[in-house]
Amino acid sequence: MNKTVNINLAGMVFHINEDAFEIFNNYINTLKNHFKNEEGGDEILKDIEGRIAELFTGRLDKKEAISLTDINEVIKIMGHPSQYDDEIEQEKPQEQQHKEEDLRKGKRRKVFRDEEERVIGGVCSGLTSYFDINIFWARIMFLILLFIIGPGAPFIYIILWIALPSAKTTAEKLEMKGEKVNINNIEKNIKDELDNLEKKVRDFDKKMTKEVFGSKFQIFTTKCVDFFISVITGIFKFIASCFGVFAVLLGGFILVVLSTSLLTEGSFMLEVRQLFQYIFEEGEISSSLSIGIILFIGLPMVAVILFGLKLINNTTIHSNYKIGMLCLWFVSWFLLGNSGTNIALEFKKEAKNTTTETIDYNKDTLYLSMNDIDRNFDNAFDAKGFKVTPFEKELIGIGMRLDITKSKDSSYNLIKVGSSFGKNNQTAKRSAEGISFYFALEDEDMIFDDFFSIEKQLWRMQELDLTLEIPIGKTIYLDDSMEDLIYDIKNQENMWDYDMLGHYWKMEKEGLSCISCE
Amino acid sequence: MKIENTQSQMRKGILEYCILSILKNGEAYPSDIIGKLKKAKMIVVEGTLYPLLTRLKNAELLQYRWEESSSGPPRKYYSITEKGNTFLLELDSTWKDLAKAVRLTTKTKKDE
Repeated sequence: MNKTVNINLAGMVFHINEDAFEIFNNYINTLKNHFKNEEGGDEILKDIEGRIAELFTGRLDKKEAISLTDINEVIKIMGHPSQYDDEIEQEKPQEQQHKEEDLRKGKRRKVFRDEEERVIGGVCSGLTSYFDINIFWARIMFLILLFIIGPGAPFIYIILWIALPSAKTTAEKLEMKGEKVNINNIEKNIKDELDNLEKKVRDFDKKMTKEVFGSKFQIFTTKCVDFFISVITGIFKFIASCFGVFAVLLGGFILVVLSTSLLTEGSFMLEVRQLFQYIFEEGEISSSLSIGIILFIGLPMVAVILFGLKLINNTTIHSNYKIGMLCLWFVSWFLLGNSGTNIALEFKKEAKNTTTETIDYNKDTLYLSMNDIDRNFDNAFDAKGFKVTPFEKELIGIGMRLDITKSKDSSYNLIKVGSSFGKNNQTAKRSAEGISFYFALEDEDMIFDDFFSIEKQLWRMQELDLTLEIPIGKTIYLDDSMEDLIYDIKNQENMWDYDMLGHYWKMEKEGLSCISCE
Repeated sequence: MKIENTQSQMRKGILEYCILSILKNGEAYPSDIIGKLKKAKMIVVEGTLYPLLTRLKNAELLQYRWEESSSGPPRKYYSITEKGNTFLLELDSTWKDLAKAVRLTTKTKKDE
């Protein structure tokens, strides 16, 4: 004996066995759940119920109650929701659904290259779509940039060309032109995000209540963990995109500075660059050094920009480009190492060249001064320990050091000790011999030049030490202009170089003695 | 990647095309349509059809009228609308293109 339940399907009454009813009720509830979010879900359910009623009628020819077998047969015919082909659509990951929603609303713009509107690579046209400006202005701006930062501009263009994907599919084209990016939208986006979060929290709350009362504690904890993970991921994503913007800006800035300073004239690295130009005669190794430096610093910066773009825009480049960049970076190591070795080789040996010049002068007092034409060597390398500097397109020596000692005979002598480095002893010697220094003798004035000249315009860390020999009994006067020239002159008063200026000094057997000091 | 997903995705678009095609020749009620689709092995379970019919109806490609039935509840008789016909024409040409594309791309050397 079986108890029956009465049900109403599409306006028809059926008697159904109790055990069968349980199964059937479950089935209908599953269907209800499946279609609850669908537009017209109620109608679909009614249609299905109608069809089931039809099937039931067909099976009730010789009996009056629906049995478990009947139910199982009918469910087999109608199928479980998971067998419906629309299943995939229902189970899309939430994120993707959001994305599609955004797309439909025309939200969330992404940067693409617009190859349909391209002149070269479509970078400008893509950016104009993103920022919603007239393409004409973007190109003009690019040309202006080209004039301002010079070779850096095409460099950046190429990076963007590689990094930005071209908008190929309709979806991408829509994304490219999406909603305008402005303050209102950013505000709106944040609001949407907050709403989203709020919804999530509410859903979570609902679920929690349900599950706690359903005493499925384990599932509840899993959900808990999932929820917190999603919150943390959200925060992390936000930080990541901020970081991405920072990375792109930083990388871009360094690249512009780097390319500008190394490829063009006129920048803070100019001096170093100029000096490097004087290392080799032809300059081709200097250019390989430049390229090496650009690649060595530039490529990691490009990587930083790409990383930033990935964080902001989810842009990825083909792995071939990455491998290529890595290879190029290793090439830069080689270039740098090679130039470095070449440079080091040029400074292997040191040599000195000493010349003594006897000064044709008999008077008792010699007035020493330096050719004071007020040249500004302040920016020269002297301050940084270099004794050679590029000056008005010529390599000259500065920072000579003058000592004053006792002459062995009765004549004034100027001893010049030039020193230089070179690949080997001969080249070093030849380079040292190329150092020349001049002074002028006018009446009682001996006027020193404020530089020494270098014959072969090559930088080999040349230095020049001068020693002026004074015969015993003669007097010299040190003019204030000698300040930068004199270096550690011994005297009987043990006075500092600076204090010796503006005084008369007599050469005695024991050394220089001040005759005008108090 | 599940083969079932790919299969059902392939079937999904075609199923709508098939339903519209069946109704092109005159009105029918769901059981008729199911019969034809089952015969053609386009659907396995009947439940698949009802959401599709409702969607097509909501998209104004189909319309229906109620008719009393001697053996069960009243039936919905579906027929194609003007809009549905235009839609179907477009699907026809799309299908031809697709069929051609599939034929060309899956053709082996031997067939040439």
